[in-house]
Amino acid sequence: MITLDLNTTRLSCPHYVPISEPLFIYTNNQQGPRTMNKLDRRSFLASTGAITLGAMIPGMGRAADGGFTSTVFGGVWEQNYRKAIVDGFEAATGAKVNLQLGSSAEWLTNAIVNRAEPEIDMLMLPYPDSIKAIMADIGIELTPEDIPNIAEIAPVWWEQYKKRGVGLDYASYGIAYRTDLVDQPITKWEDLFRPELAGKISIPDIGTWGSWEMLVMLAKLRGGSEDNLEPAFEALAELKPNIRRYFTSSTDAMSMLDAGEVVAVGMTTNIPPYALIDAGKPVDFVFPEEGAMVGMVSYHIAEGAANPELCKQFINHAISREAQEAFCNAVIAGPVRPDAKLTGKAAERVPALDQLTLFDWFKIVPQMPMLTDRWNYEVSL
Amino acid sequence: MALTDTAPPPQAQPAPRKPLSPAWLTLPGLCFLVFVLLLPVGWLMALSLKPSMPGAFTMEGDWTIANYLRFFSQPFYYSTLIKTLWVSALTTGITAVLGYALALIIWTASPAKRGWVVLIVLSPLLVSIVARTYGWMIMLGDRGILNQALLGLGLIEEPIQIMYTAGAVIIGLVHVFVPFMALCVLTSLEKIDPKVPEAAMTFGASRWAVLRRILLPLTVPGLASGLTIVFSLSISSYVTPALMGGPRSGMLTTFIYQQFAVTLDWRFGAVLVTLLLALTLLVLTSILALAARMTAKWSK
Repeated sequence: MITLDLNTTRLSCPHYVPISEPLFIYTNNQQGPRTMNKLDRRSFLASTGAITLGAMIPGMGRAADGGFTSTVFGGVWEQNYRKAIVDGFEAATGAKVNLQLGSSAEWLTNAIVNRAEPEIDMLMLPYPDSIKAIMADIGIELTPEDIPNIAEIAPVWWEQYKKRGVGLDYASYGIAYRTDLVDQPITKWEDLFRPELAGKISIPDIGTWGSWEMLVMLAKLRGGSEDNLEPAFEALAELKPNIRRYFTSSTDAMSMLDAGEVVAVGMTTNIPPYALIDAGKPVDFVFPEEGAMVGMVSYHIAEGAANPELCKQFINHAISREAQEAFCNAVIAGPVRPDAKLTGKAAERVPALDQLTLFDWFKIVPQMPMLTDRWNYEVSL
Repeated sequence: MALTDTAPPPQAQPAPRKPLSPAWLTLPGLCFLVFVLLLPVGWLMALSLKPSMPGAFTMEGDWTIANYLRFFSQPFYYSTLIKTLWVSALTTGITAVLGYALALIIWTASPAKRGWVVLIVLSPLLVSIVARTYGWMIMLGDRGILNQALLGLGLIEEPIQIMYTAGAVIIGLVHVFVPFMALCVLTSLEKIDPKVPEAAMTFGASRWAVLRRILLPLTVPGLASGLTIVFSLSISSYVTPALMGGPRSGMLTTFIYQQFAVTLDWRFGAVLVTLLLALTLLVLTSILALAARMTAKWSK
C-alpha cells in the first residue's frame, strides 16, 4: 500500500503551458527604434505579465468542470487506483476526478494553509498525516447516512478518525532480511539486537514512514507505551551498534538490502520486499512474533470543498465491495471491508487485521516535535 | 498657386516617441522573482521571528528571537551548520581542481575530440539521482567493485565503509557538480588567445609557471562563477546527502525538510532557512569580492 517516497514520486504541474513555437521574433530594426515583429512590446509585457500572474494564482479553475480534486501516490499505485476505483466512478457519474501527485506532508500543509478556500477537495492521507489532519480540524464529518458503505467496513477505520475520515486499505509493517547473509532466520524484533548483526541493519529515519511505528514498537518491547516512550530511546541506544544507516524511503531501504549493504531492514511495509522476492532475490519478509504494525490510507473531505456530495459518492464507491476487491488484489493490500475477498498473491501475503497492532496515534502526534528533537540529539549523532 | 491654396495646412509633427529602455523587458521576470522568491523568502524570515508552534503557518504571536536562541543554544544545530559549511567547502574545492583540469583538457583538445570530451564531462547530469546513487553503491559499497578489488589484491582484510559516510556525500556531490565548474572555467579559457601561453613558453616559462602566472589569473572570472554556482548547489543539496549520507552526515537541508514536513514547525524551520541563506550569501559575497579585487586592474 504505502510505497510512495519522495525520491520516486512525480510531482504534478497544473499550470504547465506547452510552448511549441517561439512566441515572437525580436529584431534590431535599423530604420528606427527597436521593434518587435508579430508581437509588440506592450502585448509581450501584457502576455508575460498574465502568465506570471497565472502561475502565481494556484487552483484557478479548480473543480470548474463539475468534478473534484483529490490526491494520489504515484507509480504503479496510481495506475491501479485509477483502474480499480477512479475510472469506474467517472464512467458511472460522468464527473471528473482530478488527482494531484505529491507527498502527504505537502497535501496536509496545503489543506491547512488554504483552509478558507481549499485547493484539494478530498485528501487521501497515510499515518501520521491523517491523524494530524483530524487534530488540525481538517475534514467534515462523514456519516453512514451520506456514505452507506461506512456501515459495511470494520468500524475502526471510521471511528479511529473521529468519524471525520474513512479508511481505504491497510498495509502491514514487518522485517525484510537477506536469507543468504544471516546465519539464523530473523523472526522477531529482538533478533535485530543480535551482536552478529553489528553495522548490518537499517531502520527508518525519523519522519520516514515506519519511524513512529518503530518507536512505539521498541517502547512496548521494553515495557513502555504510547504515553511512555522513554524505553524506546533506551532500546535505540542498545540497537545503535547494529545500525548501518537510517533509511529515508522504501526505495532507499530496498536498494541497500538488494546490494547487500545491510542484511535486515526493520519496519518496512510488505510490498517493497515482495518486489525483491518476486524478482528472485534471496529475501524474506516476516511479521515479527511480538506483533506487526498496521498502516492505513484514509479519505478526508475538506470543509468548503467544491463538491462535497460528489466526494462522498466517491468514498462510497471506493469502499464498495467490488472496488475494494479490485484495488486490494491489485496492490496487495488489506481491504477495509471484512466481506471483500482477497485472491492470489494478496490472499497469501496480506495478514488478517487481527494479527496486526494499531496504536493510539492521537497520543503520538503531539509528541512528534519533542521526539524528533530527541532523535536528532541522541539517535542520529 | 491654386494647388498651394488647396493644400492642407501643415500639421504639427508629433514629437518622436522616446524609445523605452530594453531594461523594461526584464520587468516580467523581475515581477516573477519578487512574487515567487523575494516575497516568500522575506515572509519566511519574518516567520522565523514568531514563537515556535507546530502547525502554525501564520504571523500570529509576538515578535521574538527565541527560535534563534534555541538554535545557538543547542550544539546539535550549530555543529550541523558548521558541518554543512565544511562539506560544501570541501566539495567546492575538490570540484574546482577537477573542473579546472577538465576545462584545460577540453580547451587543448582537437576540435574532433572536443565534442566527445564535453559529452563525457556532462554525462553525470544525464543520469537521475536515484540511478546515480545506485551506481555509486555498486562501486563503493561493502560488496562493491572497489572493495572486491582491494580484497582480491590482498590490500585490505575487511571492506572499507565508504557508502553512507560524509566522504560518500562529497564524492556524490563532486561527481555531479564538476561539469558546472568545467564549463564556467572553459568560458574564461576560450577568451585567452592561445598565443599568449605559447609566447610565455617560448620565453622559457615552465608549464606550471604558465598555469600559475597566466592561465589562473586570466580565468578568475570563470573560476569565481564556478565556485559560486558549485558552493550554492552544494550547501543547498538535499537528495544526495539524504541518499548517500549515513547516520552522522546529515546536512542542514535534511533538518529543514524535517521541520517543514515532519514536525510542521515552520517557524523554527524558517530559522534554519534564514541562517543557511545568510551563510551562503556571506560566502558568495566573499568569493565575488575577492574575484573583483583580483581583476580590478583589468579595467584600469
